This record gives sequence, structure tokens and C-alpha cells, in this order.
Amino acid sequence: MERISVSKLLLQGRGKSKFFLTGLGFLLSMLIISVVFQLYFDLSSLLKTSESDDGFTYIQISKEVGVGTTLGLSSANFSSKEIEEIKSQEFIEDVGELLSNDFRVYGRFAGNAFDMFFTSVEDEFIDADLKNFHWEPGQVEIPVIISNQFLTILNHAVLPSQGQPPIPKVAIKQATVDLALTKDGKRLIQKARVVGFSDRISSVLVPKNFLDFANQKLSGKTATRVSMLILKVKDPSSNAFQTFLDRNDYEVTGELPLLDNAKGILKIVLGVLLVFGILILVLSIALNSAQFKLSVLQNKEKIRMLVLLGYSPKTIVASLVKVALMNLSVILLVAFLGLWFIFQFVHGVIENLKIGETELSFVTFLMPILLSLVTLYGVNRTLKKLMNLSF
Amino acid sequence: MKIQLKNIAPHPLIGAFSSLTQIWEKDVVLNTGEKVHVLAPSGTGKSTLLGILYGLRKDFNGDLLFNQKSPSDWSEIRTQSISIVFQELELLNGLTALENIQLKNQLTAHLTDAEIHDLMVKLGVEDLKNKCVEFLSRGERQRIAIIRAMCMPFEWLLLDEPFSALDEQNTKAAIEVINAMLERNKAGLILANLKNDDFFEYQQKLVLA
Repeated sequence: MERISVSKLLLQGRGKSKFFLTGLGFLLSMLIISVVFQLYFDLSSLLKTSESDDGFTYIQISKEVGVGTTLGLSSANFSSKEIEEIKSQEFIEDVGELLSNDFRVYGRFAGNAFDMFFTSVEDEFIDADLKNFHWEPGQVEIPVIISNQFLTILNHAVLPSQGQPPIPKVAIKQATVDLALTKDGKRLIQKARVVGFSDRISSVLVPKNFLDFANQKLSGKTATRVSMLILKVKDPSSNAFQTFLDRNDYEVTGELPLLDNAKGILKIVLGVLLVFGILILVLSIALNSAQFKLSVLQNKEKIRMLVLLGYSPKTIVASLVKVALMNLSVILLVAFLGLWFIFQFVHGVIENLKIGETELSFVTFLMPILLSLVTLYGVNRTLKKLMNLSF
Repeated sequence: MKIQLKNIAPHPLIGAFSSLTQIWEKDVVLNTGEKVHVLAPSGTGKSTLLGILYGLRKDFNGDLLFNQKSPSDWSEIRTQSISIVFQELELLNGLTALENIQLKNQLTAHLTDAEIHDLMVKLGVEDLKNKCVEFLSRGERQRIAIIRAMCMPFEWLLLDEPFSALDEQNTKAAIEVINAMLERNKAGLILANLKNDDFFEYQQKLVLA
């Protein structure tokens, strides 16, 4: 004889449309939450370039030059008081002072003479290989780190305009530049060799001890002017940081903050989506539990009779949870398929735009399983509580 | 299984029962395999007593012991030790006669399909097996409830006015079926009725008053 299904008996009269809507709500919330996670990982990997390995972002700033600066009413240099104030901001982790030369630098290379400038900063702020970036007193050849931007301008703007071929990094590292450092009739003859390239600092870097030595030797002081700063910040897209820069008329070199700004906005959008997804999820879990609860209440008489016959409340709950499990399995399967198609679509768009690489995160697939387990636990708990109260 | 009722008094009846009662606030021992008749005029707590013995009522003073122990797992007791035919029958509307029987038997797997068929034939309800129970007469439903009560290896069978709607012939058939099952299970029986009867050969007759 065919077995009589206890769950079927108890879910008799439960509207199919209600079940479908609950399932749909649950599926949607699962998809939204998983997609938000996947997009978060995608964006993190796409926008990672603005962040250093240590998790901080380094931003070079200088003072905005206005008419007042030109007229000598205000200084383009940072005073020690201003530096202290910047250091004291809670969103700024550390500040590196870019010290400048207090003398004139003439360079000569391949028959061309040109003016140059030097800056120095503490080594920890430099994002280049520092292996050869040392200078000892008496050493004629000064190691120099130049900005990658300079190299780009040189190879793609300056040299082509003179009808000359671009120079690779390896070749640049082999060349030496003759230098004459002068001030008030004093003169130092040195040579310079490029030993590295920096993405972070738009300047010509020399070892700090050399700049101190040259400044002391030629201008008689080591405490030279600071016209640029490197800020080490955790979140450059924070409002507080942006407001601080704007309020003090500090200019940012490069476009990193723009990227971070975009990232910040996207994070907010993702956050809103996540909250929206969680809201739908909570509602569908509540609706699902309420429907099971309603079924139990509607069938209270049947359940009472089953208990009279010897069915344990535990068995009755288990049979209902089994139904929930089966329903959830179907929803999970659909969710996985949906996620796969969504990922393929997003991946295709990113590939077409050639803005980077994306990988399907395991968290994306883990989320629906996790959410299903939470739902199942919720249904189980609600029913058990109800059974204990009723029978 | 020995049943002991030690000084039991249901809360709603405290102060309401007479000194003639042989059960409330008395020590009563019901031995394995005994056939016990409980004479219980209306309002003396007949269904309450069976409810206490079947674990449906907890609102009483005193102790109920099965083999010297307080019963705890009522689901197990209701599938292994004590079966019952309720006065109100407690059949599930919406299910057929056979499905009502099957709902109990699938839990215990005590009877085969052939045995169930045999019992239905003996009680004259075989033709009704596919009819929903709400469309059956009280007498027919009473017989279905009796067959359902046979679907477990009980040690005690509780009967609450089990033949109230049956004619003499059907009562006789039901008694035969019950006696055969009592014999097969080496089980005891407690029959509660409004008046005296000689349906079974009782070893004990108790009065609720």
C-alpha cells in the first residue's frame, strides 16, 4: 500500500502562487547578494592599481599656485606648522616630505644642456628598487630615480618631436649625465645615473644624504624648502580627506584619487544593493517561515491527530523541513545557473572594454548555500518552537 | 507492562469526586494482560482517566507509573505499548477509511496489507475502504477506529465506549477481533463504559464516581 506523506497532508491547501512568489523572492535576494559580492571582487581586482602592497594609497600633493603665490604674498612651500597639521589628521597615516635643492642644477647629456631639479624623500615612501640608490660622501656618480611619467613624456612626446627613436629603460640606466651644481659662485661637479623608476612620485629623486650634503655645501643650510608631500592614506576616497584637501587648496598630482573616488561611489552603490538584497532575503525568509507556520496552524487539528497516533512532533517537523530542503535545492540550482549566466555576461563586458581580468569568486557560489542553510535553520527553529508550544 | 495509579486526582475534579470512587486518590495496580472494566457514569472523568493513561493530560496530582517508571517518551508508548479507541474516534477527515488505518500502520508496520484487509472484511467495512471517513456512519467509523487501534503491538488497549454505535452482530465481530489481537499481543484491556457490560471476561471492575 502506498505511504501517506505527512508533509503532503499538512501542506494541503497551501496556494501554489504563494509558494511560487516566496521562491521567486528568495531566488532574487540570493542572486542580488551573490552578484554584489562578485561585483565587489571584480571591482577590487580592477581598481587594485591605486593601492600599494601594504594596503595604503600614496598621494603626492602640492600647494595650489595662485596670483598671491606669484606676487610673494603666500608661499608655495609647506611650513613645518602646516606639515604638523597634516600629520595630525586621523585619515593620514604618515607624511613624507619631498625636500628640494637650494641650488641650481645644470645637466649635460649627448651635447644637450638643460636645467634640472632634485628632490629627496625618506626611502620608505619610494616605490622603486632601492638596491643601487645609495650615495657615499666623495662618490661622484649620484643614483637617481625618475618618474615613469617623465619617461613616457620623453619617449612619446619629446624624442619623436626631435625625430629620434624612443629609449628603453635598460638604455637609460646605462647613460650618465654630467652635472654642475652651483650657487653664489660655489660649484660642485657630479655625474648622475638613473637607477630606478617611480609611479608614485613625479619628480627626480636623489638620496637624502646627498641632497643634505649638496644643500649644506652650496647654500650653507640643510633645512631646505618642502614644496611637495607624499601622503600615506588608508582611504583616499573618504569625504574627510577630500574636504581637507579642498579646504587647504592642496593639489593632488596624478589621477589616483579619481579612481578611488569612483571606487568609493561604486562601493556605496554596491552597499545599497547589498542592503536591498538582504532586505528581500529577510522578507522572503520571514514569508517562508510564516507560510510554514500558517500551514501548521491551519492543520493544527491534523497534527494533533498525528501526535495522538504516535507521530512525534520531531518527525512531523522533519517532514516539513524536508519539503523546505527540496524547494531550496531547486531554488539553489536555478540561482547557480543564473549566477553563471550573469557572470558570463559581466565577464564579456569587461573583456570587451579591455579594462582588466575578472575571476568567478567561490564566495559568489558559497553565498546562496550559506543563505539556504540559514533559511533552513530558520524554518526548522520556527516549526520546532511552534510544535513545542502547541503539543 | 504493569500500570500503577498512585493517588491520582485530575485538577478539574479535585473536591468533585465521591468517596465511592475506586480510582481517584487511590492506589490502583493494573497487571499485565488483565482485562479491566471501568464503570464511569457521565461526568465522573471516564475520558479524563483514559487521557491520563494515554499521556494526553498532564493536569493531575499523584503518580502514573508504567513498570515502576514515570512515562516520558509518549510517541514511543503510542506506537509500541498503548493503543486506544477514542470515544470521539479521532479519524482524519479528508482521508479514506483505508488511509486512516494506513496512517497508523505505516508508523508501526505491524500489520500486513492482507491482515488489514482481513480485519476490514471481518468488521464488514471492506466495501467502504475507499470512502472518505466523513461520509461514513458513526457505526462504520467506530469499526474503522477499532481496526486502526489494532495496527500496533500494544500491551494495553484502551477502549472508550467502543461499541456505542454498533448493533449486536457488529459488536460481537468487534469483540472477536479485539480478543484475537489481545491474545496475539498477550495484552491487557481497559474498557470504560457508562454502564456495566459483559463484553469481555474482566479480571477487575473499578468504579469511577
